[in-house]
Amino acid sequence: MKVLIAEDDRFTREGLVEVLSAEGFDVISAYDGTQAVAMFQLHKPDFVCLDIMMPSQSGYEACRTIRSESPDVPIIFISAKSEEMDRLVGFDVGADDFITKPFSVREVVARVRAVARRCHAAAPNPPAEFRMKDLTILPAELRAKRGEQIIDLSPRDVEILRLLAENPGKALDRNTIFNHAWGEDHFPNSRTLDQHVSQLRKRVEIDPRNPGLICTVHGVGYRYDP
Amino acid sequence: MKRRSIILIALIIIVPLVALTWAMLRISENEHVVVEKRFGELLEDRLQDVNANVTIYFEAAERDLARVTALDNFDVSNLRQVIRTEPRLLQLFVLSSQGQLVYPDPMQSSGPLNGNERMFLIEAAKMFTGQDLKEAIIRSEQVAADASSNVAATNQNQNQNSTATRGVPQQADSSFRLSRSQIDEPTQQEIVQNAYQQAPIQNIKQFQESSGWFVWYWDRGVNLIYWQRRPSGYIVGCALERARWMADLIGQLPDTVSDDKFSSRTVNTRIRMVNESGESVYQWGNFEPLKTDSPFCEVPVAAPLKSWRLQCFVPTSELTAGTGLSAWFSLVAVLSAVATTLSICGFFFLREYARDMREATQQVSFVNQVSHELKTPLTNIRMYAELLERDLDQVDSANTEKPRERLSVILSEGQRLSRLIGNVLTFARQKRKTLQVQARPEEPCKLIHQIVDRFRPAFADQHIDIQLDCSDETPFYLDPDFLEQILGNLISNVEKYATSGGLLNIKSRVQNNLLIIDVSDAGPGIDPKKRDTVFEPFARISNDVSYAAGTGIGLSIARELAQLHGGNLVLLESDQGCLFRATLQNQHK
Repeated sequence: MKVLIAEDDRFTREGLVEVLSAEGFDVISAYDGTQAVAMFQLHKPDFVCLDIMMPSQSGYEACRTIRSESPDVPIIFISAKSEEMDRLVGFDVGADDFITKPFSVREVVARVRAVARRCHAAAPNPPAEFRMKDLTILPAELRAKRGEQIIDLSPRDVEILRLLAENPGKALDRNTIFNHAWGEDHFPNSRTLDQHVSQLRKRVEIDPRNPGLICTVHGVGYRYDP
Repeated sequence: MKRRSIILIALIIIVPLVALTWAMLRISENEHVVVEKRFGELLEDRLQDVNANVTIYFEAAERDLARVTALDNFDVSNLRQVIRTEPRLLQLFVLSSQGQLVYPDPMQSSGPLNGNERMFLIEAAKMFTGQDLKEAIIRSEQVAADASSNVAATNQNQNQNSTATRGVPQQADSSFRLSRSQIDEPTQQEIVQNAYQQAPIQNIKQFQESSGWFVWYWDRGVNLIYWQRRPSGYIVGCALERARWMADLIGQLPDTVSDDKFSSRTVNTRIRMVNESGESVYQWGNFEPLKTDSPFCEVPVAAPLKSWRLQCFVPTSELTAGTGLSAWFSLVAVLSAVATTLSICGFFFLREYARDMREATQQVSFVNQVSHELKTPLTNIRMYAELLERDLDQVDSANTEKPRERLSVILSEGQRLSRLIGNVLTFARQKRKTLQVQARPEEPCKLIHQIVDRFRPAFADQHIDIQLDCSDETPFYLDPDFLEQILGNLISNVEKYATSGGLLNIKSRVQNNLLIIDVSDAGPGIDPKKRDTVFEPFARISNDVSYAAGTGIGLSIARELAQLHGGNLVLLESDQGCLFRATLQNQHK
């Protein structure tokens, strides 16, 4: 899933790129409104995060232009402006959500996932769900279900689980999994993958200390035993 | 705020103007009364001047009549001679000291009476005997008329002769007349004699002084009698010819045209002398009053005409001339001057007020702007601290303990700074009255856990035990920002002021569509005297520099937010520390 971030503050922009990339999103960024519109037209991202106060063209204007070209693309405003009027104008020009600064990383991730999930669910050909033992993974909703329990997942979590589910009983090495989930552009880092799997296990495994879905294959990588 | 200032200015200008107008109208009213009173006094003086003329006339008449009636020879021919020579006299009369009418003698012991004498006896009967002979005479007249037309014709001739001899004009206003011929009837003579025989002179006590005037009414007219007691004890009196004395009296009064000393003054008046029946006898002055006009002032005419009155009529325009147009002009002039002065003062006041308001708005706007500007660096600090925390997760945990502690300080301080900025912005919004609830379905318990979790590292460092009791997972429509700010401020207060208690207790429940959150601590509590003021903005428990820092707006904002959310924030009685209860109403419609 491709995400466009438009933010004039360099550090905020880079931070957001890193956070969303870590979630498995394919992130592109723009430093003002005009560039954001140009990049939107060029890359056709699935998702847009806009700051309001930006040089050359405000977030509101950019949002209006993007909305006129693509009525369905999810747009989130991330801004220091938190007045009632700012929010109302934001929703009026077509925003789906409004995140005010200062935000926590978890909040941004949760909000982005929620909006992405809503949009994916409404998509004409949502990706098919698949099962791993008692866990049902719903890629369209970025969620997994175990009975009544609902587990939030990032696109990267879904990709890792999908690869394992599609190769039951097969030991997959770290590079294969990394390239599948992070992409060829990322430099493989076994520590990053292990850390990610560790966090994922805490959410999807019944007992993370004795994993039943994502088993470790020492010296190689991971394996799913159905 | 604009409406308030307009009302204020209006009050500043209108209230003094109304008060001044009222005062001036009252003064003008009083002045009117005073002028009217003075005017009345002036006119009364004029009437008294007229009366002085009347008095002068009667005093002169009195002197003359005293001389004329200084008679001691009561021979009938002598008395008749006096009457003939004195045209002012209608008739003389003589009373003995016992009240016996000596002349004209009703018994006719010294010869027959002439017509005037007979008529006087009939007319004066009421005065002397108390009997009105008019009715009896009319009846006898009818009998006589029926008896013989021949006799009546003879009587008529006699009447004409008698009138010509007397040369006295008939009374114009008399509706009832006695003819001399009728008096000549023996029946009438008997009536007169009987009357005077049966009743002695009743009014003798009227004549006890040495001299004086006597007023006697006959035939709808006043008749004057002057009398004096002679040394012999006899009372000699005379009835005056009415037309004559009235003509003489009027001769003493100003002319009907306006060249007299009264009407030549600037004031137009009408002075009228009216008789006892209220009929005008004489009047003068330029002003023509309407029939319905009542006199401005009136006084009784001097003695002996006390039953008559002098009336003065004045046009109403004369009364208001002094206080009329010029008074209104001065009133309007003064009011205009005051209104202008007040308006100028009001304008300057409003300008100053508007400038103060503008400056205050600019200050709020500046704080608002600065707070917004602070948000971006704060976002970066918090975000990069969180990213750094993630990075530390990926390296060997043995070497990251110290950096993690330092990061947790950065994160908790970042959160604190966020709260402070949030408070400042909320306060500014509260001042601008732009705070509004943005409710959405939330799980209150989950939110409370998230909020409390942010404080856990700081509380752990200060060894404060957190007890959280909430289990309700029912969706509740609320504004999460409101809840975060209210609860954040309450917990932050415990962190600042109640660390000594080592305890934070939070209990939450949903009851009757209300989310009730109790936040209590085991700290020093709040002085009972200051319990009422803790929710006021900038109210702080102590301004001592050694006391914990704070802006003094946290509780004020928390209460405002709770109230906007349909609930409240109160400080409850507790055995130890503070117990705050926040209530939020479910916004689901």
